Amino acid sequence: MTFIQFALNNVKRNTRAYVSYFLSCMFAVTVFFMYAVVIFHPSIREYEFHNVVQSGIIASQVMIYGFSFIFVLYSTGTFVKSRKKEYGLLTTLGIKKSQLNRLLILENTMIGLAAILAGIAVGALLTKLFLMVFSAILGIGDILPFHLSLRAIGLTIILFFVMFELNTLAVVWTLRTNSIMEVFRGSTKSNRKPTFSWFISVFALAAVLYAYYLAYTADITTIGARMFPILAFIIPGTYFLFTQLSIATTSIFKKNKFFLYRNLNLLTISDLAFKLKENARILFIVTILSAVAFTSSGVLFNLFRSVEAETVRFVPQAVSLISNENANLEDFKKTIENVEAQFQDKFIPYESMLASTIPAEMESNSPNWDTTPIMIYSYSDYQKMMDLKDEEKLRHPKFSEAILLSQDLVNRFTAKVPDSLTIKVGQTNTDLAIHREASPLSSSISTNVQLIVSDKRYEQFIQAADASSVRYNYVMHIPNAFDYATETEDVLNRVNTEIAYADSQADFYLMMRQTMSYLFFFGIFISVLFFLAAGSILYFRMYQDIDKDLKHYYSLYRIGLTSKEMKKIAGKQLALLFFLPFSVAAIHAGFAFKALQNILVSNVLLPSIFVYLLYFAVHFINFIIIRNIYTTKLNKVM
Amino acid sequence: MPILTAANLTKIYGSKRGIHHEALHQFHLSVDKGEFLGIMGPSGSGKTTLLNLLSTIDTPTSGAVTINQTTVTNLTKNKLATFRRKETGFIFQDYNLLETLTVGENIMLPLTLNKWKVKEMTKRLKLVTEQLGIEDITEKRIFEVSGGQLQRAAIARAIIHDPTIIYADEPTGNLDSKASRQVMESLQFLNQEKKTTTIMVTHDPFAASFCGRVIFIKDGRMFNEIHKGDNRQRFFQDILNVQSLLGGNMDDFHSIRFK
Repeated sequence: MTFIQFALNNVKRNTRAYVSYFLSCMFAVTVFFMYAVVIFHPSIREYEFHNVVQSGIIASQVMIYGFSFIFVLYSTGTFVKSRKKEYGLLTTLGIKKSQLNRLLILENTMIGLAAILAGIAVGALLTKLFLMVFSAILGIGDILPFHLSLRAIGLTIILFFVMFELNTLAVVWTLRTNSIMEVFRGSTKSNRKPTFSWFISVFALAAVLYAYYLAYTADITTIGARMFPILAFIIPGTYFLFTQLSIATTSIFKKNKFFLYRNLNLLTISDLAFKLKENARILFIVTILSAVAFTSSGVLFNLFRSVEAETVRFVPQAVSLISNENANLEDFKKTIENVEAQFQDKFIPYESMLASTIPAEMESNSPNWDTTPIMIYSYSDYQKMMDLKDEEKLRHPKFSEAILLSQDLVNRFTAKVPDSLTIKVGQTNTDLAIHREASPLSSSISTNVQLIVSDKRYEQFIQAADASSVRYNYVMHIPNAFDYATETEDVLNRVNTEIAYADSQADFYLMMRQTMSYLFFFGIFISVLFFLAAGSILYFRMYQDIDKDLKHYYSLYRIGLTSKEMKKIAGKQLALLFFLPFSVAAIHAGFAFKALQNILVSNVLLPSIFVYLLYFAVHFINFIIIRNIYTTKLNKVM
Repeated sequence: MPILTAANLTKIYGSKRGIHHEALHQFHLSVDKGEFLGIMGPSGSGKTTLLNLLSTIDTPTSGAVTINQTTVTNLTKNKLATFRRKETGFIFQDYNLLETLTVGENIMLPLTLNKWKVKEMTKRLKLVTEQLGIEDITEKRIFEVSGGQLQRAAIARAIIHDPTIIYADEPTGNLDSKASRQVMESLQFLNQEKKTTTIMVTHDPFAASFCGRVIFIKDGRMFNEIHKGDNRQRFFQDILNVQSLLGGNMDDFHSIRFK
């Protein structure tokens, strides 16, 4: 047996312990590689979005790489440290520290190389599928052809190899094998009674609840400012939740002797207290990783799904064409005819109308509303525009009144509207009583505030205004507008901007959809990576503990614990270690979704539940597999 | 009237293709109610195998063990586990106490497994800990008390549910002479006062001298059997004599332990 064979055997015969770590690394490599394939794809340069995609992918790559770095550092560290006893034995046999280092570096290099090669192999197999998904999500008509660039392979191999080596060096460098005795004791320290502080427990709970409150009440104006405080409360809160409050809870259970001494509870609960204490940091890390995974994928999925609803919110009218200042009515009408003809050519159904509007300015003592440009519409035009969309109308304003329409989102940012405002049309000023409503009209290039006045008042304004300043607004309603988004945008792009300013849902929708697709596409794989890493850490932990557990259950077996009871206890404890972080993460994410709901108009409930269910299914399968491995192993001593 | 009988017990270790080793060869034994039996023999003689078979932890290759009219060798694994927790008590060399529980909780463990009422459990705990002189340490954790106390706690756990038989595997193996004496006196007390049937494997002639009868095993077969008279000192001498007859390698499992 040569030295290299020895190292190889160490890895090969520890496969079960390494398997989940290996798979997580492999997945990271696979994702990294597939993104790299997209960046280096020769045909991607032909697309206009190529710059956006490239920077998005590079950002994702940096995140994947950074995260993998930390994950590998952590996993290698715990794994190497759990084998201290073995190093003690080798030291007694006379291994030099330099040889031991070489052994560890060799082993980790083997695992790293295997993960890189397997990751690239899987990536190569999945590349076609990935390119198909990529093309579908980004709405590219034809699928990018299969192409494995050597640069992508080279980049992946080099970066990940460097990462594995650096991490191994870091771990080996920090590994101290002081005295053989110390090493022989390995990681088994005496089980001190788990302690906790009520003060910190209460603080942890309060911090988490306060963060929940902040998220629950956040809206679009406050979310930006609250983001950091929420994280600052939730992260330490969660940490102490696991290190303190969980122990506090089990100790409450322990106080109740009638509960504690019943049947298997004694074993389950007191073991659990130790497991919670030992694993508090792991549970914390797993919770945060899962929470990040849930939240980001949930938010991304919701955003992706909400594009249509948000479009309608920001651009309430399918198409509006507003005549330009210097354009005459004849030219404008010609443009309209042209647009209509093109719509008919493309068999896009639509209804339309023409409204007239007067651009004006408001004056007020309140500086927020002084010199605000507005568009004035008559109530009857407003009525027709609402009829077009088949929407409910506001009541007719009195002669002395006006309805101020502005976007609901804008309303939250701007100061309250004064009860009355001065409207300046031409040279005349008119004071009108004002009440504000959310706008059902698209905003135009000059303003996003509209004013609805009674028909009589409108007549008056027209006379006051300069005849040439009156504008026309051609409004279209397209049933299922989103189905014709590309065509609509195409038609409107050809409108001469000297004559009319076009504003459409299609434009907004396509832009939003593209942005969200990018986000979704880049975010989702990273979320999944986080989630897998969390599962892998749990598996790792279970594997480290299994020898101790074997001894523990053998002790119990000898005094008459049945294997059914063992399965019950072990299953319960494992389930808690698995689903406690999952549930906490799910609740954390739930409040994040609530904050998201406060921002969006579309309902986030169903998409969020969908995301939860998906993750739950994966987690549950993972749990069942790991539990079976675990109990089968335990059963061997039974 | 025998409470435990073993007939034709044979245990062969080794896989189907590997090298076979017959640890126990057609062994016969019967233990009466209230007896205190010691099993001795050189290392590798099969005494621990015998105890494991008698105590249902291991299953024989052939032969039968009957405890209290139940042929335990016919029971399924799960039934055996429940049988063990009701009918038998165990004392091990390494105490086999759970680190996560307090001393008292460890002692009560068989009762919680048997679903006793909490009130009766605590009553019973008080009774046995007083008998063994460890009532002050029930709230303590395992690592806070000495080896002798731990072994007495293990004895308390073994007897708390009034088992039919107590099995002890090298109960003094990890103890110094003073603690050994305390532990053996406790076992003797239980045997004399409570008429607890006890089967103990030991290599320590001093510990064995507390038994009523000692059997010696060599190479998986019965070698000799001696009974105690009135005098423990005489009995101790007899044991030493048989040991020298057996050969001088009685102590070779004294291994260095890292603690």
